[in-house]
Amino acid sequence: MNLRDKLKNYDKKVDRKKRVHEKENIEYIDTDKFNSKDISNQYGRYIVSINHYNYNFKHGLYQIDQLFKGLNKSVLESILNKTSNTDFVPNLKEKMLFVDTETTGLMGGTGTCAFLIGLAFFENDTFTVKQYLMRDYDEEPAMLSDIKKIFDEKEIVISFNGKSFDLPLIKTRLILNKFEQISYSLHLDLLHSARRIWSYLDSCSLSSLEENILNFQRTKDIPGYYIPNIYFEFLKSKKLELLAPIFEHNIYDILSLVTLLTHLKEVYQESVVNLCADELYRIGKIKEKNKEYKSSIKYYKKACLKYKDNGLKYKVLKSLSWQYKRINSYNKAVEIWNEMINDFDYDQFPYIELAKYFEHKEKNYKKALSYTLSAKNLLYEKSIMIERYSKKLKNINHRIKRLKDKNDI
Amino acid sequence: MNIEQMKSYLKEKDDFISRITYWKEIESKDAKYVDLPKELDHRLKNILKEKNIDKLYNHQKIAYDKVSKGENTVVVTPTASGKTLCYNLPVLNEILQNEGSRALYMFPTKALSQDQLSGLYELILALDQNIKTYTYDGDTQVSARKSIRQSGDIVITNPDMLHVGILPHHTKWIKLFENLKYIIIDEVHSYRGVFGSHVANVIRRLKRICTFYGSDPIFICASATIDNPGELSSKLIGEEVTVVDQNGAPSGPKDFIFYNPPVVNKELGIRRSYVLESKKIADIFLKNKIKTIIFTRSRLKTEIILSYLRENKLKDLEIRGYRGGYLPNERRDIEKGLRDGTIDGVVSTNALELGVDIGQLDASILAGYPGTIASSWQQAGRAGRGMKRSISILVASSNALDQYIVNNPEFFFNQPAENALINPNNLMILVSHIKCAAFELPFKDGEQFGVETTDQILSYLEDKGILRYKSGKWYWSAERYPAEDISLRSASSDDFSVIDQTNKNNIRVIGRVDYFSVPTTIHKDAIYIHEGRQYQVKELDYDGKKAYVKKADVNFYTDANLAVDLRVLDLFDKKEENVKSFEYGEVVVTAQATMYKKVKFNTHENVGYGDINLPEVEMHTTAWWLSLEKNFEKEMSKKVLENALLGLSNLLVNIAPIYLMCDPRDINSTIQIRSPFTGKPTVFIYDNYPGGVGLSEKIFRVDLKILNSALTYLKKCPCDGGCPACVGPINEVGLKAKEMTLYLLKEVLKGEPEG
Repeated sequence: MNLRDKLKNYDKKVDRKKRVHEKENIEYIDTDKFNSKDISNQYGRYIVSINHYNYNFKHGLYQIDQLFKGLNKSVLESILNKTSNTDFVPNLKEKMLFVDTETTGLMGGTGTCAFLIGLAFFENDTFTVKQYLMRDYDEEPAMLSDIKKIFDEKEIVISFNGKSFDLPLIKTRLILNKFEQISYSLHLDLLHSARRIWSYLDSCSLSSLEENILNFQRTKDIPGYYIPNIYFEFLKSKKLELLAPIFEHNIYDILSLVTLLTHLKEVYQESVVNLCADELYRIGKIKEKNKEYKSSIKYYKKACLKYKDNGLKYKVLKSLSWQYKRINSYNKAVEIWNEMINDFDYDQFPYIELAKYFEHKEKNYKKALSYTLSAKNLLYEKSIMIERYSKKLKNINHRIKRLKDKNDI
Repeated sequence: MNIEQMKSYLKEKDDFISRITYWKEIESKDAKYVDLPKELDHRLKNILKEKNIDKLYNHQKIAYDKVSKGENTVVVTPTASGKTLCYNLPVLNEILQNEGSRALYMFPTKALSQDQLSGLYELILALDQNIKTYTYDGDTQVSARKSIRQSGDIVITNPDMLHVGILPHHTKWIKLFENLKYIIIDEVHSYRGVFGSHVANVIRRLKRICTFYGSDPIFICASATIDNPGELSSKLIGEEVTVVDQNGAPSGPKDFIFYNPPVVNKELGIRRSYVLESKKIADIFLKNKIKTIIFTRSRLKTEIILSYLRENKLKDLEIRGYRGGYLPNERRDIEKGLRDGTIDGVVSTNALELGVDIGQLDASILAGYPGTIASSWQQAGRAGRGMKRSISILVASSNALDQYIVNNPEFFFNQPAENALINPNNLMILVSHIKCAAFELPFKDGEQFGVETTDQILSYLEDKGILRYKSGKWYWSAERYPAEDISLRSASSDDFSVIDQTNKNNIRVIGRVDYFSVPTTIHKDAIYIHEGRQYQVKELDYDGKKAYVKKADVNFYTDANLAVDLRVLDLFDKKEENVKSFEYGEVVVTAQATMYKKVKFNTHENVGYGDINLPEVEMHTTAWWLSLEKNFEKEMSKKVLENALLGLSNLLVNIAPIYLMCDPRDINSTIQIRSPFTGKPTVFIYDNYPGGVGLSEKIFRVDLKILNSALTYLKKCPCDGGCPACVGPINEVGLKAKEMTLYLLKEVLKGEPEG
């Protein structure tokens, strides 16, 4: 028995379909599609599809040039949610590079290729999207060497989930092809920026954001998990039209990146008037975390005016009262706690806060005790719904004992 | 009672001493010291001096010198002989003198990695030179992984993690691979059989990646005493290896005692159960507060002895079981209990044979010969660390191998330990790893991965649409991530989970069973024993790979019968003699469990049976076979011939391991009265692993020796008409089996020189 038969014997599921014999040197006759050009360089060939968009092109909520209005270092830092040490030169938009890749696998690892790499940037008053395609594995070095040149000219990478997927993948491919590594001074991964504000949505995927936030609806888009197999199919048949939906999918992703970035910029520039309570609450939270208490109060107050469900309002009031407490505006905090007691009976929070206030600020131990006892009653009533019930009860009992001592009861 | 007192007590105990076939008093051995290497970094010398190490054992020094010369080295030493210094010294010296050099340590299990880390940490803390040492395995925090990849000077891992977590992501480990100076492989002897064959391929992949990054690391291996450490290490790493086996470590006095249970039925040659005898001896030790480990040969026996010992209700004694299939945290808990002394006794399979640190035990009882000389010494070595006195007792079962060993002690004490066999070119295993390797880096035309036929395998994978050939390279061209589908620990990755449903509020997985053991251990109504508790299988979800069990309290266990069919696929080699021919080649074995017996505890009598309805399992492996040219059917009835062949096959499986130096469970047999392949009465012995690990080939090389020994042994066997130690019990092989087997053997060996 020869080796091949043995191998087949080991593997009963072997595909016995006749193998399609491939033509080795296929002529790429249809490269005109997708405005594509056949490129040759010292490493070989590949194709690139180039599309230009005028600045007045509108994708979803905004025209492209809306991004440039008031674009500066500080708003980028807000989107990034951290300060950056890099000095941005004045012409920010010319430093930007939008990146999105289509790959042969979704799990990563060195056996996964980025067969289509979409890069987009602003130049000569147009938004240029270049989509680099390797038509087979041997075209990868030629494609990568030209991609690397673009990266070398740019400084700010903008991606969606690129920190853990696209960029490590491109870096892996460069290492495997023994190219020098790319570098950039800033990476805006908009997935993380989006999650900070829109995590209340069922999904924070780009398509969900398009639908719910960016006002864009894709028609006949292919799901991402089909993409690897379409490419493998293409490798066998070399019919470029098979890839048409992938090119389109990739362009949509890049255009949505621009719109998403623009929208984030607008949000942080406070030029979006119709933010919903959820959004306002979460932006308030971001401000709070960054210790911009006054700004967070502003957002929480706006959120209170827009709330649609009581659960959210209660959370907002909680946060708002905390900020007042932080900046020593106790009058306002007390007002909110009273409002919470009047309007809701969700948990013991406002009672305990009032108890603390009367104990430590007013030194009115009787009142403090009375609020604590109310908190305990509420806790009993709501015992099934309250998390970490026994720990909370223990704390309350402890407080009651202390206040009783202070009251000499 | 201390261990000296126990020794005197046993010497005077009549019903003990009368069953001893051999009592070896092994003297303590003094250390052989040499000076520290002159060129050793002064910082290392200083910290060694602080730890009162101003001399090395001579094997440590030799290892250091060989490694310094750039030789791949394997250090062969018994347990507790300072082997870790053999590799820690060269590694730390290199990192101190050439900053940026890195090392990779590989241990067979996570538990061993943890142990090593603590020892190495001590040295590194004392050095105070910011040498970063990390373990990287399945338990490593995700948040810590990035910095380990970038900055770990020494990375400690296991083959499984290397296989799934590191190699397929090698671009994240550039610094390690570019600067990799040493690869340490400890417990090399445990990389044998299927596991070893997998690991050899993982190392092929590792070396391929090192080459890509321009490094050429030196391997330092460490092994317990086996006969072929050099051959094994060299097959494992695919390079020449220098053997260092001049052990200079001291050892305490040890009594190694061979105990043979008395014959209770002379006609049948049946001895008193070695399980019960082992338990009796363990009772004596445990009652007298001597920390004891009892090694058994199977998971089932572990559970049985454990429940017997617990039945005795030895007051205040903590006795635990330990075996594969227990969950990791359960095992860690037991290991800790042994170290800190809260556990007095442990019943274990060979799972505790490896270097898991379990501290000091005084006595070890080997319930049944573990199958190999190497294993026996490892298990005996679990008692008596340092210069302390210890006792080890081998309790023989009535198996041929056990009887051979306890009655031929000179064979045991003079014979070199076994060969560890691996077959890195086992086709199934090889193909799996060629897939992984192609995922990691495309294959170039003409590139070889262990075998010359690499390109044929690559083109087969291309046919299957997994690889794509383009411009002289083979590229991975599938969405899958191949390493994830391949388990290094079993030939197939199809383990079944055992799920306890006794308590509806606490349904949990209590163990795992490999695919080939499913029909015999977790068929419907089987009694599955875990931690000494019995569970009955209520439902087996074969497609979902789950067995649902509930606690049961019955006085029997179940034992399944397998119907085996064997088909020859390919003939590798053939020797024809006058009345017989010996052949070996590739076969497919299908096994179907047909029924099971209920066997009563203690008396081991049959108390019932049931049917098993499960699909057959199939295994491709290699086999040796003997076919008889002479037309025996004319001389005896078909039934008698069948029984004689059965007797012969049983006898060969009993005797062959002595020559193969393998575990008896590594081979299996079947017979065919008229084999479709040979057309004659044929006895098959096959490797009990998918793909085979080289045992059948070895039988082919020594088959006449095996047959001669079988004849001598059979003539001497004290039973009347057949017993489990020779041709098998009469109720299975018939009344005339022994006589007819003897006749067959004589016919086969006619005209052959003896011995």
